[in-house]
Amino acid sequence: MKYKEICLVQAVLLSLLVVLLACPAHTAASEKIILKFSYAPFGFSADAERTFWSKYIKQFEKENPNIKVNMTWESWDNFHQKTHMAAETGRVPDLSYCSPATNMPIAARGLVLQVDDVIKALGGPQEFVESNLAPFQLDGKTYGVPNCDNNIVLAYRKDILKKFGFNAPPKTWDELVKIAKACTKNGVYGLGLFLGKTHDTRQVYEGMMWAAGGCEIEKNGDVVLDSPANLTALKFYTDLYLKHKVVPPSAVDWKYGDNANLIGSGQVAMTPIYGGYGTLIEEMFPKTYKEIGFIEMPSGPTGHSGSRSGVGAFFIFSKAQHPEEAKKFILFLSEPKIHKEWCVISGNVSPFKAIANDPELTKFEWYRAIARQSPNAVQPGFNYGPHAKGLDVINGLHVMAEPVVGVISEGFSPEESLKRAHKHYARIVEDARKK
Amino acid sequence: MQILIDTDSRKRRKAPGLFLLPGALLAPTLIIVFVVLLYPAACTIFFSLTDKTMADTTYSFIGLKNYSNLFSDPKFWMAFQHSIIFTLVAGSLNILLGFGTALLVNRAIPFRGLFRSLLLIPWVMPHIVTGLMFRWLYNDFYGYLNYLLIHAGLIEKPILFLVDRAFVWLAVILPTVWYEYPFVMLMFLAALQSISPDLYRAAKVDGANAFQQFLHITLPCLKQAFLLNGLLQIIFMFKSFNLVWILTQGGPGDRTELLSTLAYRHVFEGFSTGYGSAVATVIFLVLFAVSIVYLASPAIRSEEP
Repeated sequence: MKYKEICLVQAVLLSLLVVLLACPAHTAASEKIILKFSYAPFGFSADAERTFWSKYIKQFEKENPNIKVNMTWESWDNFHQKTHMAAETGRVPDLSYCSPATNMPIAARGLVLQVDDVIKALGGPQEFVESNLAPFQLDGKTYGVPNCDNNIVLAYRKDILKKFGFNAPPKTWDELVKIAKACTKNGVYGLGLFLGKTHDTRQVYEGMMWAAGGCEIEKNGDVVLDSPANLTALKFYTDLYLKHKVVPPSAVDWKYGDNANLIGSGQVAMTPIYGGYGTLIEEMFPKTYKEIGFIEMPSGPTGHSGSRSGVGAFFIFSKAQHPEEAKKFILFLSEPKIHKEWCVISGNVSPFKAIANDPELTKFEWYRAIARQSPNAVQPGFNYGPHAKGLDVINGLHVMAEPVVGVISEGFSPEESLKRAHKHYARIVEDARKK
Repeated sequence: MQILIDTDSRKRRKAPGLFLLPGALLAPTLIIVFVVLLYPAACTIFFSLTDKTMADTTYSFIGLKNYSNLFSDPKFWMAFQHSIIFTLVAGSLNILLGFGTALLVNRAIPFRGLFRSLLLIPWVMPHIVTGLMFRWLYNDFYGYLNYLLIHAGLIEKPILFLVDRAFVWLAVILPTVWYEYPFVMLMFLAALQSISPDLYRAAKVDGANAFQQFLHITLPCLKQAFLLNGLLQIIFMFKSFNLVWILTQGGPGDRTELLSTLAYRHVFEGFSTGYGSAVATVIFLVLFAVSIVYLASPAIRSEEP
């Protein structure tokens, strides 16, 4: 083929491409409103979740023929960054579903839509469990519609505890040590506790800080990580491994889910774990599942327990193209029948007071444990709130695991380790505030 | 001859269209190289001079502040030291093992083809499979390695391969070598097969024994292969990330933190794009310097036509 002919063919192809790209796609589907929904899984069984969302999106589309829901399944690995970047650039989906640590920092910058009207349509704030709604509120305005709650509770093997003469799980830190020590025998360890630089370590430690009366950032914005209460929590945490030797040494290297495997296979007697994991453990260990109990975390020196909250909510971006349709979708999914089904398949507790104590839900042991734990479950930032600047970096770098890792793996004393982590934490917050 | 060349070049100048077709054919490759290599690399270097964070579109130019912070950060120097040791140990083992097995499968042994294929299996496995496989092998509760060692009476209680400071580097380097040496083996095998058999025949006639043949024919003929493998191993090992991340994520503590894991931690977990990019730029500069040294070395230049 001659050169001129080649050029001609290329020019024709290029023109066709330009025409195709430039033409608006006038199809029947494009006349519908496309509701973009970004979602990182809040449930524990991916299969059950996919079935649920597919079923109810179809039903919603049937009831609203002018709306098509375009759901994107996000990875937890980059969900936070992606959400924040989308909010900053304005290229946003309409709707998302997340924890307060993700949406409240951008809500504080005016990038999230206020949803008090949706809360009102659902009966008002009094219809929600307070500890589930409060993290999504800032200066009297609400920026998320709570749809699920989860937190870290204590999973325990009834058969192992019984074997060593304990008919009930521990209710206090002292009892936890006593039972864990008694159960540590013949290759079985009393307590499965994360010790590495992971989010599991930091979240369990944060819960213990709360049970000891500690805090990360006070209401006035002061970083108070190196407080005596947090030191008490750190000593208790690390003593379980170093002094009482009730934690498997390999816990230093555990990754997400390792403790679920070990409690299911009976190699640890107890472990702190998100209560919703109960649904997955039932799938993984159907034979031994009946031997696994769930209860709120043991109480610390304050007399109450402490845990890390995993509450989740719908939120709408300020620059959403279809905010009204997004609100309609939230209201649809908050219908009691659908919502109850969501709780069961996802392993979450309902934030609606009217549904939270429904016998169909409270019959599950994991559900009762999460519900009882909720009032004592904390958010990142503690008293100051999850909108505190710098928390994304702190969480991403697992700074709150550093006190534990410093003692366990780097040989620092608890005092030294806590001071180092405090400095690191305070520096990140200070840098973030300066920006 | 000179006249002919000049005439030819004048003809080319008269027909610029002759350059357009090769240009058009090369364009997709050049665009891809620019989009996936040059542009990201330039962005990384640029961001290393800013205070950019992952979740914020606004940032400011801060000059070399990230670098001054980096060079005063003991964790950076520790990761740098780890990267150098890891590169030297894992790279050397890869070359030794790769060279040894290449010599072995280059010989006329029964089932040679089968052995060659089997030895390549680790290399074709995805990193995630290799990493998880070794994590399971090392496990203290149900790991096969501990099971074997205990049943052979060599140890009384399980070794915590990924926790114990005495074993953790071994536990990271072993799967790295297991994965990487087949590539080195292939390179050496190709080089070995390019040596003319006449050289060995002539040496035999001269009375050279096997060791003398190896020393005076095989090794000198493989000089290029050694240099190339050496350079590639420095590059591959120094920027090694996947297996280390899957196995230890730089832990326990910071025990196996490499520059690559440090960069990832800052960029993707700590959202500090600027600071993490500075770490990535250091990796790039080190490897760039190694490549320059390699390309400028007399051994390479002497081989050029």
